[in-house]
Amino acid sequence: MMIEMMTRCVGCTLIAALAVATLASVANAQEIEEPGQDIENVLLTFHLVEADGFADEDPEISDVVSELRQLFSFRGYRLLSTSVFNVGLLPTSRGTSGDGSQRIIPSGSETPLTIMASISSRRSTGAVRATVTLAEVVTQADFFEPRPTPLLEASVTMRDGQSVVLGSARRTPGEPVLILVVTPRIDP
Amino acid sequence: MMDHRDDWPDGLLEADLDSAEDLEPSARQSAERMVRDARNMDAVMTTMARRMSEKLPAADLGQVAPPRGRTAWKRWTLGPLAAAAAVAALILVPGDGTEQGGGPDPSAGAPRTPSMMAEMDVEADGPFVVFPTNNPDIAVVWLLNPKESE
Repeated sequence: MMIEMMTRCVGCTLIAALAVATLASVANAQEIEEPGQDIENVLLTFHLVEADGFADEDPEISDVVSELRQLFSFRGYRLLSTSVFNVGLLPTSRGTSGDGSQRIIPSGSETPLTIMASISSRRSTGAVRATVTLAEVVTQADFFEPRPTPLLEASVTMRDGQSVVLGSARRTPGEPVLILVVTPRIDP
Repeated sequence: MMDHRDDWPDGLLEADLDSAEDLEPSARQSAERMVRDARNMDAVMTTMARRMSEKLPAADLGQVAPPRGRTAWKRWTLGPLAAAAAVAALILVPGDGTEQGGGPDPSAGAPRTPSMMAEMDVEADGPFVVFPTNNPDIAVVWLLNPKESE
Protein backbone atom coordinates (compact mmCIF):
# COMPACT_ATOMS: atom_id res chain seq x y z
CA MET A 1 0.00 0.00 0.00
CA MET A 2 2.72 2.41 1.04
CA ILE A 3 4.90 1.48 -1.94
CA GLU A 4 1.98 2.04 -4.28
CA MET A 5 1.36 5.48 -2.82
CA MET A 6 5.02 6.32 -3.11
CA THR A 7 5.14 5.24 -6.72
CA ARG A 8 2.06 7.27 -7.51
CA CYS A 9 3.50 10.32 -5.74
CA VAL A 10 6.78 10.08 -7.62
CA GLY A 11 4.93 9.69 -10.90
CA CYS A 12 2.77 12.72 -10.32
CA THR A 13 5.73 14.80 -9.27
CA LEU A 14 7.71 13.84 -12.35
CA ILE A 15 4.81 14.70 -14.61
CA ALA A 16 4.49 18.09 -12.93
CA ALA A 17 8.22 18.73 -13.28
CA LEU A 18 8.14 17.82 -16.97
CA ALA A 19 5.18 20.15 -17.54
CA VAL A 20 7.01 23.01 -15.84
CA ALA A 21 10.12 22.29 -17.88
CA THR A 22 8.13 22.35 -21.11
CA LEU A 23 6.57 25.70 -20.25
CA ALA A 24 9.96 27.12 -19.34
CA SER A 25 11.47 25.92 -22.60
CA VAL A 26 8.69 27.56 -24.61
CA ALA A 27 9.19 30.84 -22.74
CA ASN A 28 12.94 30.65 -23.25
CA ALA A 29 12.51 30.04 -26.96
CA GLN A 30 10.29 33.08 -27.25
CA GLU A 31 12.91 35.19 -25.50
CA ILE A 32 15.57 34.05 -27.91
CA GLU A 33 13.36 34.75 -30.91
CA GLU A 34 12.38 38.19 -29.68
CA PRO A 35 15.33 40.01 -28.18
CA GLY A 36 14.53 43.13 -26.18
CA GLN A 37 14.09 46.21 -28.26
CA ASP A 38 15.95 49.44 -27.72
CA ILE A 39 14.21 52.02 -25.60
CA GLU A 40 13.56 55.01 -27.83
CA ASN A 41 11.68 57.46 -25.65
CA VAL A 42 11.43 58.18 -21.97
CA LEU A 43 8.76 60.52 -20.69
CA LEU A 44 9.98 62.07 -17.46
CA THR A 45 7.68 63.63 -14.92
CA PHE A 46 9.28 65.79 -12.24
CA HIS A 47 7.51 67.01 -9.15
CA LEU A 48 9.39 69.68 -7.28
CA VAL A 49 8.26 69.55 -3.67
CA GLU A 50 9.01 71.91 -0.83
CA ALA A 51 9.09 70.51 2.68
CA ASP A 52 7.55 73.01 5.02
CA GLY A 53 4.51 73.59 7.16
CA PHE A 54 1.99 73.05 4.38
CA ALA A 55 -0.63 70.96 6.12
CA ASP A 56 -3.07 70.22 3.29
CA GLU A 57 -2.80 67.13 1.12
CA ASP A 58 -1.96 67.58 -2.53
CA PRO A 59 -3.56 64.68 -4.44
CA GLU A 60 -0.90 64.79 -7.14
CA ILE A 61 1.81 63.77 -4.69
CA SER A 62 -0.26 62.07 -2.01
CA ASP A 63 1.30 58.63 -2.52
CA VAL A 64 4.81 60.00 -2.21
CA VAL A 65 3.93 62.21 0.74
CA SER A 66 2.42 59.30 2.64
CA GLU A 67 5.75 57.49 2.38
CA LEU A 68 7.77 60.56 3.26
CA ARG A 69 5.69 61.11 6.38
CA GLN A 70 6.86 57.72 7.65
CA LEU A 71 10.48 58.63 7.15
CA PHE A 72 10.88 62.30 7.98
CA SER A 73 9.54 64.78 10.44
CA PHE A 74 8.61 67.60 8.11
CA ARG A 75 5.29 69.16 8.97
CA GLY A 76 4.06 69.24 5.40
CA TYR A 77 4.88 69.04 1.74
CA ARG A 78 3.94 71.56 -0.91
CA LEU A 79 4.02 70.84 -4.63
CA LEU A 80 5.88 73.74 -6.24
CA SER A 81 5.88 72.66 -9.86
CA THR A 82 5.27 69.75 -12.20
CA SER A 83 7.47 69.35 -15.26
CA VAL A 84 7.03 66.81 -17.99
CA PHE A 85 9.39 66.37 -20.87
CA ASN A 86 10.28 63.65 -23.29
CA VAL A 87 13.84 62.46 -23.85
CA GLY A 88 14.46 60.79 -27.18
CA LEU A 89 17.19 58.17 -27.04
CA LEU A 90 19.62 57.55 -29.88
CA PRO A 91 21.47 54.28 -30.49
CA THR A 92 24.93 53.93 -29.01
CA SER A 93 27.37 51.04 -28.86
CA ARG A 94 25.85 49.80 -25.61
CA GLY A 95 22.21 50.71 -26.02
CA THR A 96 20.56 54.10 -26.33
CA SER A 97 21.07 57.45 -24.67
CA GLY A 98 19.84 61.01 -24.70
CA ASP A 99 19.32 64.04 -22.53
CA GLY A 100 16.95 66.87 -21.93
CA SER A 101 16.36 69.81 -19.68
CA GLN A 102 13.68 72.23 -18.68
CA ARG A 103 13.78 75.55 -16.94
CA ILE A 104 11.15 76.12 -14.30
CA ILE A 105 10.12 78.96 -12.06
CA PRO A 106 8.61 77.46 -8.92
CA SER A 107 5.57 79.13 -7.46
CA GLY A 108 6.48 81.82 -5.00
CA SER A 109 9.94 82.28 -6.43
CA GLU A 110 11.47 84.57 -8.99
CA THR A 111 14.74 82.73 -9.44
CA PRO A 112 14.54 80.05 -12.09
CA LEU A 113 15.68 76.48 -11.60
CA THR A 114 16.75 74.00 -14.23
CA ILE A 115 16.03 70.30 -14.27
CA MET A 116 18.44 68.29 -16.39
CA ALA A 117 18.28 64.60 -17.15
CA SER A 118 20.75 62.41 -18.97
CA ILE A 119 19.25 59.02 -19.80
CA SER A 120 20.82 55.81 -20.99
CA SER A 121 19.44 52.33 -21.39
CA ARG A 122 20.65 48.88 -22.24
CA ARG A 123 18.76 46.58 -24.49
CA SER A 124 16.26 44.27 -22.82
CA THR A 125 16.88 45.51 -19.29
CA GLY A 126 13.54 47.29 -19.19
CA ALA A 127 15.04 49.99 -17.03
CA VAL A 128 16.74 53.31 -17.63
CA ARG A 129 19.64 54.95 -15.90
CA ALA A 130 19.19 58.64 -15.31
CA THR A 131 21.52 61.30 -14.06
CA VAL A 132 19.19 63.94 -12.68
CA THR A 133 20.33 67.42 -11.77
CA LEU A 134 18.38 70.19 -10.12
CA ALA A 135 20.30 73.41 -10.63
CA GLU A 136 19.83 77.00 -9.74
CA VAL A 137 20.38 79.46 -12.54
CA VAL A 138 22.76 82.04 -11.17
CA THR A 139 22.95 85.35 -12.98
CA GLN A 140 26.48 86.65 -13.23
CA ALA A 141 28.00 89.79 -14.67
CA ASP A 142 26.47 91.23 -17.80
CA PHE A 143 28.83 89.62 -20.25
CA PHE A 144 28.46 86.13 -18.82
CA GLU A 145 25.54 83.87 -19.50
CA PRO A 146 23.57 82.60 -16.50
CA ARG A 147 25.33 79.55 -15.11
CA PRO A 148 23.43 76.62 -13.58
CA THR A 149 24.71 75.77 -10.12
CA PRO A 150 23.77 72.22 -9.10
CA LEU A 151 21.70 71.95 -5.94
CA LEU A 152 21.00 68.25 -6.23
CA GLU A 153 22.50 65.59 -8.46
CA ALA A 154 22.33 61.81 -8.48
CA SER A 155 22.45 58.90 -10.90
CA VAL A 156 19.81 56.24 -10.43
CA THR A 157 18.59 53.18 -12.31
CA MET A 158 14.80 53.27 -12.48
CA ARG A 159 12.06 50.95 -13.58
CA ASP A 160 9.18 52.03 -15.76
CA GLY A 161 6.74 53.94 -13.60
CA GLN A 162 8.88 53.88 -10.50
CA SER A 163 9.01 57.14 -8.57
CA VAL A 164 12.36 58.06 -7.12
CA VAL A 165 12.40 60.76 -4.48
CA LEU A 166 15.63 62.74 -4.48
CA GLY A 167 16.34 64.90 -1.49
CA SER A 168 17.41 67.23 -0.30
CA ALA A 169 18.51 70.66 -1.41
CA ARG A 170 18.27 74.20 -0.14
CA ARG A 171 18.85 77.33 -2.12
CA THR A 172 20.02 79.17 0.98
CA PRO A 173 20.34 77.97 4.58
CA GLY A 174 17.19 79.80 5.61
CA GLU A 175 14.94 78.47 2.87
CA PRO A 176 12.81 75.33 3.00
CA VAL A 177 14.13 72.04 1.76
CA LEU A 178 13.51 71.09 -1.85
CA ILE A 179 12.74 67.53 -2.91
CA LEU A 180 12.61 66.31 -6.49
CA VAL A 181 10.44 63.35 -7.44
CA VAL A 182 11.18 61.80 -10.82
CA THR A 183 9.03 59.21 -12.56
CA PRO A 184 10.01 57.73 -15.94
CA ARG A 185 7.59 56.28 -18.46
CA ILE A 186 9.46 54.13 -20.94
CA ASP A 187 8.26 54.24 -24.55
CA PRO A 188 4.86 55.62 -23.52
CA MET B 1 9.39 77.83 13.15
CA MET B 2 11.00 75.05 11.29
CA ASP B 3 13.88 73.20 12.80
CA HIS B 4 17.01 73.91 10.81
CA ARG B 5 17.76 70.17 10.78
CA ASP B 6 14.30 69.10 9.72
CA ASP B 7 15.66 67.78 6.46
CA TRP B 8 17.61 65.07 8.31
CA PRO B 9 15.99 61.76 9.11
CA ASP B 10 14.77 61.14 12.63
CA GLY B 11 17.26 60.03 15.17
CA LEU B 12 20.26 61.95 13.98
CA LEU B 13 22.60 62.86 16.70
CA GLU B 14 23.87 66.26 17.58
CA ALA B 15 27.43 66.57 16.42
CA ASP B 16 29.29 66.56 19.72
CA LEU B 17 32.67 66.13 18.17
CA ASP B 18 35.81 65.13 19.95
CA SER B 19 38.27 67.93 20.30
CA ALA B 20 41.42 67.92 18.25
CA GLU B 21 43.19 71.08 19.29
CA ASP B 22 46.56 69.87 18.12
CA LEU B 23 45.52 69.96 14.45
CA GLU B 24 45.61 72.82 12.00
CA PRO B 25 42.27 74.65 11.76
CA SER B 26 41.57 73.39 8.25
CA ALA B 27 42.57 69.84 9.11
CA ARG B 28 40.51 70.01 12.29
CA GLN B 29 37.51 71.20 10.33
CA SER B 30 37.92 68.36 7.87
CA ALA B 31 38.28 65.86 10.69
CA GLU B 32 35.20 67.21 12.40
CA ARG B 33 33.24 66.99 9.18
CA MET B 34 34.32 63.40 8.63
CA VAL B 35 33.38 62.42 12.16
CA ARG B 36 30.05 64.13 11.81
CA ASP B 37 29.37 62.43 8.49
CA ALA B 38 30.23 59.07 9.98
CA ARG B 39 27.94 59.64 12.95
CA ASN B 40 25.13 60.83 10.76
CA MET B 41 25.49 57.84 8.48
CA ASP B 42 25.62 55.52 11.47
CA ALA B 43 22.48 57.04 12.93
CA VAL B 44 20.66 56.82 9.65
CA MET B 45 21.66 53.22 9.10
CA THR B 46 20.64 52.34 12.66
CA THR B 47 17.26 53.96 12.16
CA MET B 48 16.79 52.19 8.85
CA ALA B 49 17.83 48.84 10.27
CA ARG B 50 15.43 49.24 13.19
CA ARG B 51 12.55 50.10 10.88
CA MET B 52 13.29 47.19 8.60
CA SER B 53 13.60 44.74 11.47
CA GLU B 54 10.28 45.91 12.87
CA LYS B 55 8.62 44.90 9.62
CA LEU B 56 10.12 41.43 9.46
CA PRO B 57 7.60 38.69 10.09
CA ALA B 58 8.30 36.30 12.93
CA ALA B 59 8.89 33.43 10.53
CA ASP B 60 11.79 35.29 8.96
CA LEU B 61 13.41 35.66 12.34
CA GLY B 62 13.37 31.94 12.92
CA GLN B 63 11.02 32.15 15.86
CA VAL B 64 8.43 29.73 14.54
CA ALA B 65 8.76 26.26 16.01
CA PRO B 66 8.41 23.37 13.56
CA PRO B 67 5.23 21.31 13.87
CA ARG B 68 5.56 17.89 15.45
CA GLY B 69 4.50 14.49 14.18
CA ARG B 70 5.27 15.16 10.57
CA THR B 71 8.58 13.42 10.16
CA ALA B 72 7.03 10.43 8.39
CA TRP B 73 5.09 12.69 6.05
CA LYS B 74 8.25 14.62 5.30
CA ARG B 75 10.19 11.46 4.57
CA TRP B 76 7.66 10.20 2.03
CA THR B 77 7.06 13.57 0.46
CA LEU B 78 10.43 15.23 0.38
CA GLY B 79 12.15 12.25 -1.17
CA PRO B 80 10.09 12.16 -4.37
CA LEU B 81 10.05 15.94 -4.50
CA ALA B 82 13.83 16.05 -4.33
CA ALA B 83 14.06 13.51 -7.12
CA ALA B 84 11.63 15.48 -9.24
CA ALA B 85 13.52 18.69 -8.55
CA ALA B 86 16.73 17.04 -9.68
CA VAL B 87 15.08 15.94 -12.93
CA ALA B 88 13.58 19.38 -13.46
CA ALA B 89 16.95 20.99 -12.79
CA LEU B 90 18.59 18.79 -15.41
CA ILE B 91 15.97 19.89 -17.93
CA LEU B 92 15.80 23.53 -16.95
CA VAL B 93 19.49 24.33 -16.65
CA PRO B 94 20.49 26.14 -19.86
CA GLY B 95 23.19 24.76 -22.07
CA ASP B 96 26.51 26.40 -22.76
CA GLY B 97 24.86 29.41 -24.34
CA THR B 98 26.36 28.91 -27.77
CA GLU B 99 22.94 29.26 -29.34
CA GLN B 100 22.96 32.94 -28.54
CA GLY B 101 26.22 33.43 -30.34
CA GLY B 102 27.82 35.48 -27.63
CA GLY B 103 29.02 32.92 -25.17
CA PRO B 104 27.21 32.09 -22.00
CA ASP B 105 25.09 34.74 -20.40
CA PRO B 106 26.92 35.67 -17.19
CA SER B 107 23.62 36.23 -15.42
CA ALA B 108 22.20 32.84 -16.32
CA GLY B 109 21.47 30.88 -13.20
CA ALA B 110 22.68 33.69 -10.95
CA PRO B 111 20.30 34.64 -8.19
CA ARG B 112 18.57 37.96 -8.68
CA THR B 113 19.58 40.46 -6.04
CA PRO B 114 16.51 41.51 -4.15
CA SER B 115 18.16 44.56 -2.75
CA MET B 116 16.63 47.80 -3.91
CA MET B 117 19.94 49.53 -3.39
CA ALA B 118 21.67 47.13 -5.75
CA GLU B 119 18.96 47.47 -8.36
CA MET B 120 18.98 51.25 -8.24
CA ASP B 121 22.78 51.49 -8.24
CA VAL B 122 22.72 55.05 -6.93
CA GLU B 123 25.69 57.31 -7.49
CA ALA B 124 26.12 60.75 -6.00
CA ASP B 125 28.92 63.10 -5.13
CA GLY B 126 28.33 62.81 -1.41
CA PRO B 127 27.05 60.26 1.08
CA PHE B 128 23.46 59.14 0.63
CA VAL B 129 20.91 56.70 1.97
CA VAL B 130 18.34 54.73 0.02
CA PHE B 131 15.14 54.26 1.99
CA PRO B 132 12.88 51.45 0.86
CA THR B 133 9.22 52.27 1.34
CA ASN B 134 6.04 50.30 1.76
CA ASN B 135 5.21 51.12 -1.83
CA PRO B 136 7.43 49.09 -4.19
CA ASP B 137 7.07 51.80 -6.81
CA ILE B 138 8.51 54.52 -4.60
CA ALA B 139 12.09 54.78 -3.40
CA VAL B 140 13.72 57.59 -1.46
CA VAL B 141 17.31 58.60 -2.10
CA TRP B 142 18.44 61.05 0.54
CA LEU B 143 21.70 62.85 0.02
CA LEU B 144 23.46 63.66 3.26
CA ASN B 145 24.81 67.10 2.71
CA PRO B 146 26.95 68.22 5.66
CA LYS B 147 26.16 71.84 4.89
CA GLU B 148 22.49 71.17 5.52
CA SER B 149 23.11 70.24 9.12
CA GLU B 150 24.98 73.37 10.02
